[in-house]
Amino acid sequence: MSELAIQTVDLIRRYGKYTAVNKLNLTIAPGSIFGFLGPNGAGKTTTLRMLAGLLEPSSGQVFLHSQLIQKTSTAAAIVGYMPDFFGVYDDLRVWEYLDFYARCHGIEPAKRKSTVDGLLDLVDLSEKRNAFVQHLSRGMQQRLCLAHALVHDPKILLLDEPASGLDPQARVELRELLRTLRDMGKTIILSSHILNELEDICTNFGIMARGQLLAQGSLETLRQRSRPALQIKVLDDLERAMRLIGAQAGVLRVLEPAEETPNLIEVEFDGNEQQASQLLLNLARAELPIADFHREDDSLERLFLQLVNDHVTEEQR
Amino acid sequence: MSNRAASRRWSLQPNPIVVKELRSRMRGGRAFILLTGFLLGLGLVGYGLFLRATSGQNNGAPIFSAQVGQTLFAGLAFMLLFLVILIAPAVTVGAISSERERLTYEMLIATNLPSHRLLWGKLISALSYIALLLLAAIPLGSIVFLFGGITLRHVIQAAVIIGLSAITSAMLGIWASAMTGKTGRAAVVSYVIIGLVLGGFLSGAEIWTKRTTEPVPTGLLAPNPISALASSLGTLSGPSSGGGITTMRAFEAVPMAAGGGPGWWPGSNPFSNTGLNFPGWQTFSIGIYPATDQFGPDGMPIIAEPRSVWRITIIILIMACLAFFWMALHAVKPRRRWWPTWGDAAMLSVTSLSLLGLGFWIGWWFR
Repeated sequence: MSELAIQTVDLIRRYGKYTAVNKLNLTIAPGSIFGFLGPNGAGKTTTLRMLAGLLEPSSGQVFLHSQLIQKTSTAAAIVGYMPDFFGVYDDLRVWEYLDFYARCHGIEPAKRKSTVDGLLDLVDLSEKRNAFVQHLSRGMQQRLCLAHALVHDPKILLLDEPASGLDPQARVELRELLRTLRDMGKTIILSSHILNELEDICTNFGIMARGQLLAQGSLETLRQRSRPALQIKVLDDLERAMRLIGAQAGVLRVLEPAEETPNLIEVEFDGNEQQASQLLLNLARAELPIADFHREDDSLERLFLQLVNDHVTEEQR
Repeated sequence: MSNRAASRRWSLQPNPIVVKELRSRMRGGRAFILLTGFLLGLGLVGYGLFLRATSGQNNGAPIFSAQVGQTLFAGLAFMLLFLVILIAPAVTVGAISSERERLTYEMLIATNLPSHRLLWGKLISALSYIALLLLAAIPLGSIVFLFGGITLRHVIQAAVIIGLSAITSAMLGIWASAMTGKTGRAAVVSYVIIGLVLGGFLSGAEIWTKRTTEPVPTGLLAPNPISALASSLGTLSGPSSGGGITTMRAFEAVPMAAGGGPGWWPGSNPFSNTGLNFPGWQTFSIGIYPATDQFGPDGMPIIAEPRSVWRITIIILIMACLAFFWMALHAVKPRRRWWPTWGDAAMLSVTSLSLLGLGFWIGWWFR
């Protein structure tokens, strides 16, 4: 088995009695773009900070390229970290900003200028080289912050909500930039709430909720965990419809309609197309007023919501 | 590249924090406006002191050039002491907390820059600005040499006391900044401590002298840089030997000739014959001159040699600097903040050995 870029072993972080991250076992292969998904308070930022060596785990271990992280400096050499909320030194020029971080990473004077120029080129800020950081747009500052994380050519990039607060154009630019970095062989972990954006770019995903990793793997692997479903909109006689649906072949479970969509019945269904067709036929024969009948798609968003909801339901039991 | 190799590489390079701070601090007019204000203030105070020192001439009294020089020197030295003690924390209270407040702290500590280099950088950049202020004041301060009455020893002693006070004050600001994490809170903590040290010990000495005739304990004088500077400047005039006038002490006759006469003694200003004629001198030098019950041939009481508390002050200031630095160093660490390290053990050993070494000359330090 090839060396993993990131591995965590039973990683736990507690804040007093609150457990922010609970027995996290992550495995991320080199060169992958790992999308870290989870609702607010899921423990994504805490995990990223532990991976960056900025936060001491309560227990468990973090390995970056097989190296056990016990000091911030060990992680700093391997990782480039971009926090979710970041500030910039307003009174510095763009090149000075990157030059400062290059100095902090001990880049030799001879290499410093070419490193700064290369990064400005990479993040498309060469024209703004001598501008003050405070005069950059939000998107440009985001790209500059990403450049700061790359200044020491790290193998791993940890990006916490890199697309937050960006307009659609800046998001497209960021996505392109991440693709370029992937092509450069970097392992990238990024957390985000914008699921469809991650779907396009990430090779692997991890879904977290309440400090626990609910699932991880490629989209295909995760889809296998997803239960196929049908959505049926019945305009009247909902109870008779639900009884009838529950008696059909291939139906696993009939869920109660949500308050905001009172006529929409969600059905967990693992039958084939013939069985789905038979179900529709039987509903029509029973003269139920069917307005919509369709299979739910396998989007990341649905998968995410399904896993998180299941987890919450299980915890409530 | 290993961490050790990286550390070795940039240990030979200028501290990144210093480079950044100087770039941003010296940009724009703020730094130069403050510098101009500082020099103007100092110039005005110097001129005021000169007028005061020469005011006796209006009454036909002779004024000795050395007296003017000494009064100017002592007045400017106190002025500089107060300014650096007050300015240094203002420059450093935001050192760590402002990084936290503007959300750059995590990005900074996620680099290869070790905590001690971060702190050194902050300290050096703050001190370089204060050093700039002090250097800019040299031409103004050197006017006192035109009048004479000052020795190189006094200049060096005053420079050491003022310099160490500035470093300690700056270190206090960094410590408060690292511990509190909020610039406003750090400023309050720093200035309350400064107020307590400067005012508290002086008040303590004042209360002591009013309640008892015993000499003020060294513990009430040595921690205070004001008393330290006063004890150093007090030797400008030397002890009164009952009217004997030497070149250095010529001005001792002046307060009497200027209208004081024997009648002023034992008035409200028993130490005015030290010749340092500026407001606050009596307060600053409280407890410094031990009273004696001996009288000179002219019937004047002999005032003893001022106590050299400044020597102990130097040790106290160095110790305070080390303590503030050590605590700030641990407070800025992202993880395992208060875990003892080998560095701590080394620092503790060096400090203990130094103190032990100083103990051999304990008589000199407490003279």
